[in-house]
Amino acid sequence: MKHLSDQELMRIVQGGDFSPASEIYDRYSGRIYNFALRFLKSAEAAEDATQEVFVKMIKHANQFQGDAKLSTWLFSITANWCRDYLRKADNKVKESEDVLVTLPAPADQSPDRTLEQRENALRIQRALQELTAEQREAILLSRYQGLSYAEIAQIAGCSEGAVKTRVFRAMETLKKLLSVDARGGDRCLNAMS
Amino acid sequence: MSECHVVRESLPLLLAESLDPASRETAHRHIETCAACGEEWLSFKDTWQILGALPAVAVPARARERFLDEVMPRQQAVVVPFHRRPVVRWVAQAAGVVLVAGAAYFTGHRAAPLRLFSQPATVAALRPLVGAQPVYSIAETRVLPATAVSPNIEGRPDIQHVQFVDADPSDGQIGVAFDLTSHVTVTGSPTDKSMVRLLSYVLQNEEKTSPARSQAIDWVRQTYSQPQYANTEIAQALAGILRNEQREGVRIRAVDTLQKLPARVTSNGEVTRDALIDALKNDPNPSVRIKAVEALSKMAGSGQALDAEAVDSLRQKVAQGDENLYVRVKAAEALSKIHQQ
Amino acid sequence: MRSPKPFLFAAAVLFCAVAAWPATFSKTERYSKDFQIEPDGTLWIDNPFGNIEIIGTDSPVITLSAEIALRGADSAAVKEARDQTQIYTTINRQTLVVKTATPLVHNPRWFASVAFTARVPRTMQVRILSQLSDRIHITGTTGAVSVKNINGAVVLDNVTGAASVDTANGSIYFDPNGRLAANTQLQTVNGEIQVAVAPDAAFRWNAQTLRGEFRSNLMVRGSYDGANFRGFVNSPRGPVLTTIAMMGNVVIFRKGTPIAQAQSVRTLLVPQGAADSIGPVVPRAVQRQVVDGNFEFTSGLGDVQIGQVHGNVKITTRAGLVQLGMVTGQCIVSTRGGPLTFGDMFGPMNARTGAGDIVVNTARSGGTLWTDGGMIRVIYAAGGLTLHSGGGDITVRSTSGPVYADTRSGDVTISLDPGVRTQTVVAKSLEGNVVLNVTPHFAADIDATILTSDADANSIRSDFNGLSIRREPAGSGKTRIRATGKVNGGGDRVELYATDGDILITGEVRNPLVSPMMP
Ligand SMILES: [Zn+2]
Repeated sequence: MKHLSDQELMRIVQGGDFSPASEIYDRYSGRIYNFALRFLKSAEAAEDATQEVFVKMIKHANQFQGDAKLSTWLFSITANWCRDYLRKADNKVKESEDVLVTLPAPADQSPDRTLEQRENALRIQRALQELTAEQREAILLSRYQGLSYAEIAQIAGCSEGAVKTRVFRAMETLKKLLSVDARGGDRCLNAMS
Repeated sequence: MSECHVVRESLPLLLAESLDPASRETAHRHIETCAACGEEWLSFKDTWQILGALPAVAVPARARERFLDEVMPRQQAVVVPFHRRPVVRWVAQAAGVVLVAGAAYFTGHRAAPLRLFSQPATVAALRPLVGAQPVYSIAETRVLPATAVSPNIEGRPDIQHVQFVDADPSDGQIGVAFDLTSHVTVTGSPTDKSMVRLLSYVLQNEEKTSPARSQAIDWVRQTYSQPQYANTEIAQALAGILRNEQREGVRIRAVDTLQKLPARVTSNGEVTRDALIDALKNDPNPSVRIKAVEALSKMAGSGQALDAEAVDSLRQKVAQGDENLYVRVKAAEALSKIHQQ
Repeated sequence: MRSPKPFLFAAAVLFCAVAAWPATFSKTERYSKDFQIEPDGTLWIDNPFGNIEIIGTDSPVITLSAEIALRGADSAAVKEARDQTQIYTTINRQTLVVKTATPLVHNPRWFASVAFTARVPRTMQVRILSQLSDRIHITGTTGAVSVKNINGAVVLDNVTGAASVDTANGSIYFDPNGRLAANTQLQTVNGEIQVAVAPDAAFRWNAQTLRGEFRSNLMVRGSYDGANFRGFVNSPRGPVLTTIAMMGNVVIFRKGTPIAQAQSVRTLLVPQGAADSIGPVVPRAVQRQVVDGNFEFTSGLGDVQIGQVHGNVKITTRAGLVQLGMVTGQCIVSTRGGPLTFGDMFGPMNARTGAGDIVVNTARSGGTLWTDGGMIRVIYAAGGLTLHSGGGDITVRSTSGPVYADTRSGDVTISLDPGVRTQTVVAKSLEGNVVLNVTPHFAADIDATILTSDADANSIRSDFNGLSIRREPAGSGKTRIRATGKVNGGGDRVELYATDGDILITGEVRNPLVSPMMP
């Protein structure tokens, strides 16, 4: 099945045969999972999102239009799920650091690099949480998923102009939070006093 | 809109290398000539690059299994591939069953008391609902048609706060509203959720000046200090008394009871722990403070982690020169039990 | 911790919980990284679990090594431990912060700790925050040092900057390279403190304790204020060493000499031979099965637990619980804090505590029980009782003697022995209810009064006829409800008083309570 295109795989699913499910999952689960993880900052929620997005993909396969891009459709479902998740009052993005905990400590990399990566990743993840949900959605899809503004607009259900503004605003905020001078050393100082 | 603004808004697109050639050309020209936008471009570039340092995380292996478990068995149920209809119907039927079951549950659970009387229900029709679900709500407000109320009023019920509702011009129906005091006996296991809720409510709302409150605490202690009935909610109700009750005598009883509950109950809830710490810090009655520190000591001794604030409160207590010496020693003892398991 | 070098034997508890598993999976990861900050900058380490070693060097670079030790009941638990343990660092020109993030409460199937070793420019300041470790060791630094932890020894060795240590259960060992150069504060609740200095080191010494002792083999002068000491070693000038060891001892000794040579500072302060006048160090706790004859005991702080005393008892302490199973003679107990528990008391009692409950199983000759805050409970009494609580319930389950009971807040419940036909009872609660249980034949002149701010809520209820009840305003919105009269023809005086509470007089047929055995 590896040689079949997304559209071909989906056509099989639409025919009632779910055997391409694992292949589609393997193609997209990483992107879906990471998008949800960065959006929601909760590994647990990201796992649930991934699960439900792919189940929905199978269940509602008929809603997929053969000529569309599968990634756009999947990100639409994911983004919807994440927005619903955040809407529930008690699912506000948590201050927990559970995103970092799943960071791999690869064996092929020098350990000090890992320490530094962890530091950076934590800072970036924190900065992302400072954005509004709309801005975060837009920058995540643009920066990490390489989607065009047209695709993002389709997923977010807004105009391309709005996407442009959201990404720009997100960059403005991130610039302030991530610039070199902003890296203070006093983050945990108050813990000692 | 100024050219600067237009250019700046498209900087992210420039970074993503998805700007059309003409706009890209314009943007680059502007950046080279406009110092402010040039600086913005450099810092955006820096930020864009920093963002790239966020590594991708592998999807947990269990997530894949979970997904395939949910999807694949359904496929196996379909014997012939490309046999589209049966699948759809199967799914639809399953969904329908769930929906019906759910609806029945919620009707039984929430709306039953109202429905019982709004329809000419027979006893036989009522029985399954009453037996299956907890239907009696103590906080209930009912609207009953007169036909559902027995015409025989016996035992001189206590009726208060009577209000009259004028006739409805459309159907001529009138109304009379009142508070009815009725005597209710609720029986059940000490671990029954409704029982626990009811007792917590009684503990925290019993008329403050009545002897019943002290009795309620004593009675709760007898039951819930037994390990098999350990209950966090009861502990929290007692913590509420400890925190809010003005009478020292009642607070002493509450904290005395808390201290006698199994340790895992008191340490399960932050509410309880915080109330104990506040009592230790601020209660004017030394006996309340002794019992609070003893309860904290028991928590620490049972291997439960105390947070930094709890530990610091104990340290301060030990060092507090004007505190009763026994309280200080007990605080030291509580500290010594931390992490010893 | 009476051994000569207690700090070496401090809490080796790091892996206890995990060690209980039959088969333990473990994994260790090591990391190392160099940092460069200004030589007078600060290194902060916030590491909840694991040892920390800081070594001052002449190099301008900080070399930080971390060893992550993971243990779990199975490999999945080890994986979870790894996932939930992260180290991150933040740095600017002045400060390097190293923080281990690990949940305080987590799955008990794993344990993770991080051991740090940092080689730092010796002039740097070092600040450490830890919870649980075997040891935190700092050596060879000249900058200020501060350490705060819960468990684990703190060893400062050749540390010459201003030092501040605050530990809950750890012992502290401090060696300022011979001479104390800066003000130093060492503080532990349950540990001990040892300070090793050169013979001619000179500094001022302030020491506090609740239960410990100060010892030295140097020239110490100064004076005591209770358990606290203020003085100096060798010279009344120089920096100040403050040692606070609440429950443990403090020893300042000449480096290189056996610590056992150090003597109690109390004995060092007075000429030989006169030491006896100060009295020996008081025992801290007494636990005896049987004492034949009188028992007299005075202590600053200590618990007393004795099964039987065949004689009189007199106990005075500043704080501590007292438990006496049986006393044949009279019993006088006074403590400024601590619960008092008595079994079968034959003679008259006089027991007083500054704080805590008083429980008496049997007071055959009655007595006076007084707590400044706490509950008083007497199961059975045959003599007159005088009971006072500064706040707490008072309960007498059965008595045949007169009772005078009052509490500032709480319920007073007095039940008279069914055999008693009349008896004097005075019971007052300034904030609570008063309940008197008697038999239907009980005869008395009753005077019961409630002062209440809610006259609808509070009431006097009585099973006896013959009481006349009056209500009258008592000023500032309060109402006085008073019931007076003779019941069963009148008898001894019964005076009940409650503020903002109910008064209840019941007359029920009850079985006599037999003098109970000790539990
Ligand atoms: Zn410009």
